[in-house]
Amino acid sequence: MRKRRNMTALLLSAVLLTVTACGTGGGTTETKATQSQPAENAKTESSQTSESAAAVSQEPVTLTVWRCNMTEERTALIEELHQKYVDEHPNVTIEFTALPDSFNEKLLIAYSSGTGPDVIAHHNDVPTYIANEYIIPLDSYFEKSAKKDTYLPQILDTVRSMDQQEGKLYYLPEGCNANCLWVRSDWFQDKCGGLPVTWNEMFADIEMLTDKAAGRYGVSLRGGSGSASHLEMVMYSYSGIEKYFNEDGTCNINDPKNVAFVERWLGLYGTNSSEADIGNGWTEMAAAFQSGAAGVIQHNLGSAADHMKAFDGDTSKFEAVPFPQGESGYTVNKAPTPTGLCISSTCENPQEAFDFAVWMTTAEATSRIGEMWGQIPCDMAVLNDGWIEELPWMKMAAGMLLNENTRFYENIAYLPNYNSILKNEIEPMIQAVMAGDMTAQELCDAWAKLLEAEYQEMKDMS
Amino acid sequence: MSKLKLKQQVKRGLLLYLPLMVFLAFVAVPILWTLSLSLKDERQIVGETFRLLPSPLTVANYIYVWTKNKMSLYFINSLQIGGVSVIAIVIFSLLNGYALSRFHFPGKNLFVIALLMTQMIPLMLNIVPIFIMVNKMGISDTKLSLILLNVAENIAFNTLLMRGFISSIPREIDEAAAIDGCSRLQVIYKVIIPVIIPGLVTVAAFAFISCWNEYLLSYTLISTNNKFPISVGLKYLIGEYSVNYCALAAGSVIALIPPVLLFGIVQRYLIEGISAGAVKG
Repeated sequence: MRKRRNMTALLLSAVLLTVTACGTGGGTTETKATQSQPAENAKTESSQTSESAAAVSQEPVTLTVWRCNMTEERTALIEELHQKYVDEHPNVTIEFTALPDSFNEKLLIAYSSGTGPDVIAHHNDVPTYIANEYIIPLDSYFEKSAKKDTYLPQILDTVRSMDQQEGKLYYLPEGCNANCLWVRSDWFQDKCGGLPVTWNEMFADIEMLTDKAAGRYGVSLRGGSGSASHLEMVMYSYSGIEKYFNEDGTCNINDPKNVAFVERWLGLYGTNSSEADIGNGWTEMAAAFQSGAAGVIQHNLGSAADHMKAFDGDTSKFEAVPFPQGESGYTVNKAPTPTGLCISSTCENPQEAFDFAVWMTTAEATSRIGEMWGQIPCDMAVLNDGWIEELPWMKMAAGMLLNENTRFYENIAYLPNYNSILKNEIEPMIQAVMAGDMTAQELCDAWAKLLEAEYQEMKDMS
Repeated sequence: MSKLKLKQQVKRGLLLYLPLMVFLAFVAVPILWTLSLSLKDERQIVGETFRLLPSPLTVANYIYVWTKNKMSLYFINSLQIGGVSVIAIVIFSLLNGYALSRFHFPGKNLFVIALLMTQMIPLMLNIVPIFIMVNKMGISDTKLSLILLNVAENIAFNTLLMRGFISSIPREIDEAAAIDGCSRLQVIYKVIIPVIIPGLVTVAAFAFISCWNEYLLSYTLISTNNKFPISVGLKYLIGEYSVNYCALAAGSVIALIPPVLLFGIVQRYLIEGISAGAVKG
């Protein structure tokens, strides 16, 4: 009996202690300055612009920075750049978290509890961050910045389009990737006498390159993850349409020219492309290209390093080319969505964070990041850097961006559920078309309907 | 050999050994391929020529992931987190299982049902409250938070498993020990534990695998690179636009070593434990 009483007392004490421990507030590390609730800071510029852009505080400041999709090599470079910044700004301490995966869920969870990093180097989903008030607009800081004219104007337009309501600047662009076709130029020289200029020529050449007996296909299609965004790029490059939505709010993705292209492009499946392509992500496509199983793949400049390794640095065998000309007679590309640095609504030192963001998105920092990441810097002053001139695909992409004849079609990444629609709704339908269970018209009609609904919902909320 | 015996052997071969060999092929081929990849250099896997075996054989990938990719650090983090978690899980599961097996108290069945129900709730649903709770406790971004949550996550299942093992021991043995002067804890330590060693090993093995493979909590709760476990550390080898397949294979082999060693050492106890638990569970 006595033993039972003692045991009960012990257990009750343990429970009480646990409850007490859970009730104690704060106590997280002193170096993190992000405990305040985000909602109070959201979209209220007035309280954050009491200092002029030039009057950056000399008080000790700690900035927490998160970057996603990092590798050890990327981490080493960023840490080196951060150290350079700190050497120039000794009052600043940077706490850097290099995350190997995407961080949207991690951010959501952090902000749900009122914490979050000060600076977010984002990859995509800025409209979601804006809608959830994770980040602050930067216009008031940007207007006073000495570097505001150094960014590519069309890139800034794209950044502002992320805020469909007020067109505010929510991040500083760092770099953008260019989508292109990687081609086996040696095969094209051998079988077709050169590279095609138009889409019609490309389709004809793909057929000429296919030799099923030898295990060679003209093209490797992307039927798996990421197929929808890729298909969208090539169809608009063919049709030459530059706006996604008409004046009446209808989507033109099911325009007859787009449908005709989809029929032709996905019709290559099984005849001029392998049957395995129905599940292809970018790794499988790259493997097909590098192993000599496909003559053309669609990807961005990020895979250049892999192709260089696969072909032993022999650039006579492969190259990156812009999308061929479509019916319009010019090259149309998706308005590039740049990566960049956002400032969190929980940041207690936004001016210092902005100064840091400018430093990281211009000059040496953005050039070195672009070189390692395989992306075009958004700082015009570095577009003539040696490494861009030396790498043929970078030179091609930089030339394409700066060429007045290059057209861009509207990037609708500002739709909050755009990525989710592509991934969850459209990609399975693309596979259905490839498998012959659905027609191209049905796919495009369904696609248009989904986007119209999303667009209308966004307009109703604004 | 008589016809009947031959027939039995052919039947055994077709119905048992052949399916087992097919199953073995499905299991072994990916592992052997990973091993082969880990010993190649990258030029052997890209390009047009397919090679089954590495030629030349190289250990450079292992050196690269262990040193430059900090796999040594992530490996030690995983050992620390997994080791402490397993010890705590085994102790708490043993005590919980003993209580459920031996004691009668109001709400006992309800408690067992509640334990079962916790297994049906995906971790993802609780991740936000978990993060808030860990923040308020002041242990965010620490290995302690992962240890506590590993224990919380694994204790329900392992408690029920342990209850099954302990229930297979007759109560009379406890009573006999008590008559001989043993206290409750002494009964557990001196009588129960030696008998249910296979059960303890089973619980420890399952708990270790669960803790070793844990990714979601580690990625969400930890914000300092040097504190990530190996499950997150492997992800650094998958870049945004390229994958270092050989290094990834080497990292995967390194990550496989502790579970494989563990199962190699304890497999005898594991087989006894799984079947014993199944009977009385």
